[in-house]
Amino acid sequence: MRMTKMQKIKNILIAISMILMAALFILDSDLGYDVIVILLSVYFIVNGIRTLWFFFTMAPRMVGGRRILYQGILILNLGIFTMVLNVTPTVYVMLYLCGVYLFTGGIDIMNAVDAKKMGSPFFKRKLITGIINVLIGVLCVVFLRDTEMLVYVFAGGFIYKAVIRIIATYQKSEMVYVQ
Amino acid sequence: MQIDFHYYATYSAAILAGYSHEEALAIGYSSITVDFCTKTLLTKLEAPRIAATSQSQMELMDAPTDVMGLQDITRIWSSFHFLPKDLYAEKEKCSRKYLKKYRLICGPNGDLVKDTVENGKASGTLQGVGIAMHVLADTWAHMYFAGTPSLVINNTDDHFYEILPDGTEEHISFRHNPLAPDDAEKRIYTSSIYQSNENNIMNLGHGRVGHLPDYGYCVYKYLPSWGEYREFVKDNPSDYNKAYRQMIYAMKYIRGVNDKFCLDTYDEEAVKGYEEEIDKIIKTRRLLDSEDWKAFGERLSGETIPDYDIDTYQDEYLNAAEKKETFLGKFIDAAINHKAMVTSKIYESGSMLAGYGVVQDRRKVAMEMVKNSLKVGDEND
Repeated sequence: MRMTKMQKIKNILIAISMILMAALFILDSDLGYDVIVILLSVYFIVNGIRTLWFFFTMAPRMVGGRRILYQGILILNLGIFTMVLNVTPTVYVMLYLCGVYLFTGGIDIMNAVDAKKMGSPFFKRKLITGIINVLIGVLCVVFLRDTEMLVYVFAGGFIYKAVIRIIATYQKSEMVYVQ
Repeated sequence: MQIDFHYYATYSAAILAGYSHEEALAIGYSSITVDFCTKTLLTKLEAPRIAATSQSQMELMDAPTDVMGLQDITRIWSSFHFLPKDLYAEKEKCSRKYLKKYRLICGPNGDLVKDTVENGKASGTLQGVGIAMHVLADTWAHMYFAGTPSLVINNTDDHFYEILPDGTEEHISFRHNPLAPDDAEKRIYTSSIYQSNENNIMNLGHGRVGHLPDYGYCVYKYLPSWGEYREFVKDNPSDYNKAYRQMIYAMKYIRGVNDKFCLDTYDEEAVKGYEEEIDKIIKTRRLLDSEDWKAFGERLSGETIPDYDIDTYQDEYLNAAEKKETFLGKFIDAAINHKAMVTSKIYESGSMLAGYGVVQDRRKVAMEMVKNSLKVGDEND
């Protein structure tokens, strides 16, 4: 769907922030590691709270609403768990990041397959995103005990997501709607 | 509902209500044009885009999803395709935000249906009548859904069963492939994809169940998202029959045959001798009944019903000096009027989901303001 001007500006600002953060991670990998963990946890905690807020204000008795509740609890728990990871060995953060990227990549690939079945020409972008996410997940496994590599992988992921965000801002996305 | 009911069936209902062939054609044409009068068409005609009565798939894809965008979508769909049944409905233990969306749920025989018919009569044009009939008919087909993007109101789940005439139940499946046609025999229908974002366009109207509400033959039961796990049975054949009879009753009122329009009233007299045929058309297991409705209408009037063509009156409108006097000009006026009425009613109920009401005649409002200021002794020239 088309974005408004404000949404486009917000997207671009987020993308620029992501690129600047990636640069910071690469310049100081120790600081970068701590920031990564905090960022991830804050992101999940905020999303978890938003999802739970939506459930309690709009969907407590909605048919299938419990899915939203479980989603919110899961995301919130992920966020809190990620916060705790700050004092645990790198290997666990790597495994965690690996899981996130593999999962996200898998979902993207499934969505791409779905989009292709529906005849959408835009499945390629989703497919490429999915494959890259999976590759990043594999890299995390390969460099399991290497803190520096963790930061580089994360920074690379940030830059990639920032670029995708910029492209998406100026590209129409296709949605199928049955009228 | 689709072209079969909005054009051909409405034509035949107008004939039974006592309109002439030409008048019934104008009513039927205006009724179905509600499904095609998009901003794209209005731009082409250099007509006011505020008169839009529908949105094409491309327009919906392009529609912004900020507050203003959502209000625009709600204004169109709630006014013309999902007329709210009760803008003051109450629901226990829910947030205000939820209640506002809940109150937009469409249903027949609400106060707004009466207002719509009165508006159609007040318009003084056949185009106004046609628009009113489209809106009225859709309150029957689209009941239980709301004309605003909302996951918590318009979503459904896998619990979907067709109830066959012998009482048995068969599961209905939905797929998300718009390239594949609906399969009435296998009970596989195309619907929009599940999207967890509350305001996603996939959650507009009856998108989550595809065209199922528009098929007259289907009796089905399901769990609407807002229904708290209560099973609702949607009896399309019965609803379509009532819609047809209510349209005749409404049009007789508009013509002046009846002196008032009451809700929950249906003209059984006019369809005497035709009940079986009408019922058969509606209940035939088929995605579109245009042929049968057309044949029925032509038999009633003894005239030929031309195929619907969106281009029919466009040249007249484009070339006219006085656009308001043209066919489409009258349609546009009636559409703006109706949209203003519904939007104002939604606004008056305390909801901003459709934004502010449209002020149709600014000059009239300005004159009223001047008169009022003179009354209180304002000597400003």
